[in-house]
Amino acid sequence: MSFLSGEHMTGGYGGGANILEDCTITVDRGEIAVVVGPNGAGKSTAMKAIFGMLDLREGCVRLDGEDITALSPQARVRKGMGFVPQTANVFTSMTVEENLEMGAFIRDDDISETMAQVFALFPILEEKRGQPAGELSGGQRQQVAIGRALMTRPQLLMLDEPTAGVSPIVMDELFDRII
Amino acid sequence: MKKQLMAFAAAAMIAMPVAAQDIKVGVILGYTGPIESLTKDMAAGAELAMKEVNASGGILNGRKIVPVRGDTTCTDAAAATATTERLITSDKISAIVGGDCSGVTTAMLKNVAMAKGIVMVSPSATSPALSTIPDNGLFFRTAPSDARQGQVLADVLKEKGVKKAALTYTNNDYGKGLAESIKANFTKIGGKITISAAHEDGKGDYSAEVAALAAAGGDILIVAGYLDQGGKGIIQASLDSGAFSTFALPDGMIGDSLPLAIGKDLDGSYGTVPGTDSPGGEKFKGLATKGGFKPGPFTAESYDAAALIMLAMQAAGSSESGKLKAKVMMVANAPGEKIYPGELAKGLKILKDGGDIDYVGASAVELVGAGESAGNYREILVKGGKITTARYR
Amino acid sequence: MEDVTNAAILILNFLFVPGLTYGCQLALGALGVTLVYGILRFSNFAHGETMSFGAMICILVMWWLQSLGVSIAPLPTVLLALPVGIAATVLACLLMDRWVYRFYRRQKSPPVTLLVASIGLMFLLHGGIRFAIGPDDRVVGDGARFIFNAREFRHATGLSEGLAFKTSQGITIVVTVLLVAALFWFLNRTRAGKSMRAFSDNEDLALLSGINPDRVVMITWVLTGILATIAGTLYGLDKSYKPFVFLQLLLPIFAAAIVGGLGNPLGAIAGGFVIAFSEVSITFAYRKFVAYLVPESWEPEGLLQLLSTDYKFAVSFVILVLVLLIRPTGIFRGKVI
Ligand SMILES: Nc1ncnc2c1ncn2[C@@H]1O[C@H](COP(=O)(O)OP(=O)(O)OP(=O)(O)O)[C@@H](O)[C@H]1O
Ligand SMILES: [Mg+2]
Repeated sequence: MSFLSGEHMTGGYGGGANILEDCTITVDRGEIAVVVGPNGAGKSTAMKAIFGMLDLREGCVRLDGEDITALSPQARVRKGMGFVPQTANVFTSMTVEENLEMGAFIRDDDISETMAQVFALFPILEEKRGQPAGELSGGQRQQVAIGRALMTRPQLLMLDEPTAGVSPIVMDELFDRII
Repeated sequence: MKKQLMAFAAAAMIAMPVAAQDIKVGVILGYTGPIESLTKDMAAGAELAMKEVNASGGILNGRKIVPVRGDTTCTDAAAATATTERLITSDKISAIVGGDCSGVTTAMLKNVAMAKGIVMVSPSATSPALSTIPDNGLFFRTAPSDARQGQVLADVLKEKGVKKAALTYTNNDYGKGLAESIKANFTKIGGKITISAAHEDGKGDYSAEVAALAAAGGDILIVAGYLDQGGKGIIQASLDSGAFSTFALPDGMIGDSLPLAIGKDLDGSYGTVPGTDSPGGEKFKGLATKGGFKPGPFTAESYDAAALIMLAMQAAGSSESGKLKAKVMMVANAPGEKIYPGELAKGLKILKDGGDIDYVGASAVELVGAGESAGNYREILVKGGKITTARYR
Repeated sequence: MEDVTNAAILILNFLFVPGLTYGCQLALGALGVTLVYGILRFSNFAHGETMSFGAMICILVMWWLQSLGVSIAPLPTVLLALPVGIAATVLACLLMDRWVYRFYRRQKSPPVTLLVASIGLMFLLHGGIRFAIGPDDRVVGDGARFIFNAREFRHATGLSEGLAFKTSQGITIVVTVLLVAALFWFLNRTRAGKSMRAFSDNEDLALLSGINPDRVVMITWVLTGILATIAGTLYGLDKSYKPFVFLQLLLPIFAAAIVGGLGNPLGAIAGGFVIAFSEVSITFAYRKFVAYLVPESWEPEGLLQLLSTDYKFAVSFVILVLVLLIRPTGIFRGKVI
C-alpha cells in the first residue's frame, strides 16, 4: 500500500476538456518520485489534482490509505501535505518572515525552531526576513516558497519545478537538506 | 330605444340628487415633500371656510361643499399633474384650492386646469412668473408674487442698516424668482448683493456652499430656501463655521421648526412672511384655534382661497369654473360690503340678493393685476428661540 | 502680519478642518470597500447603505437611551450606541454574505456578478432603511456642539477671522486615528490579520498554507461592519443623518478606494484625504484669502473659485478617471480593476 496514490484521475479546468485522462500516480513513504514530461504535458495539473485544486471528474486520491478526494486544499494541509506551485508561489506583498509564518498557519505550537531550520537551510532568507517577498530575485523567491511549504513540517512535499531559476549549488544543497 | 332612454332617465334621476347637492372642491397641496410641515394646517384653513359655508346652509340653494385632498409633493411636477388630472376627471371637482409651490402650480395650470377649464386659486405659489403666464382667466392667488416680497425684504434690510448682503437660494423656480427680486430691489435702493448662489436641497453637507458665501462676505446672509431642507443646512453650517451670524429669512424659511432645530443662535435673525394685522387676521386666528389647527404660514390665504371660490360660485349662480372665473375679482375687491372671516354666510346672502361685496377675509385680500394678492407682510424677528412679530407692512 | 494670520485661520477654518474631517469619514468608508475588494474580489456597492444601516441602528438606540435620560455630555449619546450598532451591522453583513454572496462565490461567479448582486442589496437596504426610519433629516449630535466656536476664537485672539472646532470633528479625527491604528495592528501583527493579507495577496497559496477561506471571509465582514457603522455614524454626527445622502457618498468613497489602490488599506486612507481635500480646495472661493494677502487696491472682484460647489462630486469623478487613465493601480499599487 503506497503512502500517496492518485488513481485513475480524470479532469480539466472548469468545464473544459480533460487534461488528465486516467492518470495514476503512486508514491511510497520515503520515496522521491519525479514526474517528467514536455511543456504542457500536464505535470502541474496532476499535482493540482492531487492537492484538490482541480475538480476530478473520475478517480480518487488516497493518502496513507484514507480517501481524501473530497477534502479541500486547506484540509489536505492539515493531513500533512505540502505543495509549492510552479508560479505565484509566494505572498509578494508580505515579508519573508510573514511568508514563513503563513506557511505555519495551521500550527498552534512554537514555530521558531522550524523557522530557524529554514533559515539555516536558506541563509539569505534570514538576511532578508523583513523584506517583501515580491522584492526578491526569482531564485530567492523559490527559496521562500520552499521554506513556506516546509514550515508545516509536511509528511509529503510536492514541488513543481523547484529548480527553475535557482542556482545549481543552492539546488544541490537544497535537495541534500530536504532529503 | 325607448327602454334605453327610460333607463337612462331613471339612472340620471338617481344620480342627480347627489350631483345637485354636493360641489366638490380640490384642496391640492404638498402633503408630502419639503413643505409638508405647513400643508396640514393650510388644508385645515381651506376646509374651515368650507365647513363654515356648509354650516350656514351651503351655496346655490343648499348645496354643500366637499373638499377633496390631493398631493402635489411640492417638487414633482409629474405627480402634481397626475393628481390634478385624477381629481378633475374621476372626483369631478369644480375648482381647486392650490397648488402650493410655484413649480408644481405652473405645471398643474398648464397641463390640466387650462385644458379642462378649471379655476385654480393658489394660497402660496409666489413665483413672479405666474403673474404673466397665460391662464384663460382661470388662475388666481391669494398670496402675493415674490416680486413683492423681494421689495418688502429689501426695505427691511435697508431699515436695519444692511449695506452688503450675501444671498443663497434653493435651486428652483421659487428660489430663483425670489432671489432675483430681492437682488433687483436691494440694488435699486443702494444695497449690494455680494454673491447670489444657488444651493441644492437634500444634501448632507453644506459647508462648501457656506465657504463660498463667506468668501464673498456680507453683513448678513439672505437664505431664500426651505426651512426643512437646504435652507436649514446652510444656516447650520454658517453658524458652525462662524461665517454668518444673522440671517434674513423670506417666507419659505419661516416656521417654528427652524428656531427649534437651530436653537438660540438664530436669535436676532429677521424676515418677512405674508400676513396682516387687519381685523380679519385676528378673527381668523380665533377661528383657527377653535377649529383645532395652528394659524401658521399661508393658512389665512388658504381660507381666503376657498372662500373666494365659494363666493364667486354664488355670485355666478353656478359651480362651473367657466362661469365663476369672471366673478372672482368682483367679490374680492371694492365696491361692496366688507366681509371678514366667519361672515361668509352674510356675504353669500348679499350676493344671493343681488348685492355686491368686498371680501377682505383673513389676509386682507385685494386682487390686483391678473388676479393676485397685492400682499400684506408681517416682519418677524427671532427672539428667545421663537418667531415674533415685529410689525406689519 | 495679522493679515497673514487671518488668511491662515481662514484656510484652517473653511478648508483644512472640514477637509480633514471629511477625509477621515471617506477614509473609513473606503477602508471597508477596499477590504471587501481585497478579500472577496468585488466592488461592494452596498457599502454606502451598510454605513447608513449602522448609523440608523445607532440613532435608534440613541433615541432609546435619550428617552431613558442617559447622557454622557459633553460627548454625544450616540457614542454609547455604537456597540449595538456595530453588532447589528456585523450581523447584517454576515447574513448578506450567507444569503447572497456565498452562493455566487461557490459558483465561482465573475466579480461583476457579485457587483451586480451588491447593487441589488444596496437598493434593498436603502428601501428598508427609509421604511424603518423615514427619509427625513435627523440630528445625531447632542452634548456640547463645539470644542471652541468661531466667536470665542475671535474674542480670545482678537483676529477678525474665526476658527471653529466642532465636537463632532474632534471625535471624528480621534476615533479615526484610533480605529485605523487598531486595524493596522490587527492586519500586521495578528495571525488572523496576516492570514487576511495572505488571502488577499494570493488566494490559492493561502489555501495551500491551510488558511480557511470561510474564516477569512467572516473576519472581513466583521471588520467591514465595524468600519461601516463607525464611518456612517461619524458622518451623521458631523453633518446630519439622512438616508438619501449615502447613495451620493458612494462615488467619493469608491474614488478614494480606487485612487489609493483598491485592496490596499493604506491606499484607502491616502485616497480618502486626496479626494476630500481636492473636493474642498477646488470648490473653495479664495477671494477673501487673497484679499488678506494683497494690498487693498488689488483686491479681486471675482470669487476666485475654480469650480462651483454644485460640481463637488464631479471632482471625485474626474480624479477617478484621471487615475484610471494614468495609473490604474492607484497611488499605492492596488489591484488592477
Ligand atoms: N488554469 C488553466 N486553465 C485552463 N487550462 C490550463 C490551465 N493551466 C494549464 N492549462 C492547460 O493544461 C495543459 C497542461 O498544463 P500544465 O501546466 O499541467 O503543463 P506542465 O506539464 O506543467 O507544463 P510545464 O512544463 O510548462 O510547466 C496545457 O495545455 C495548458 O494549456
Ligand atoms: Mg508546469
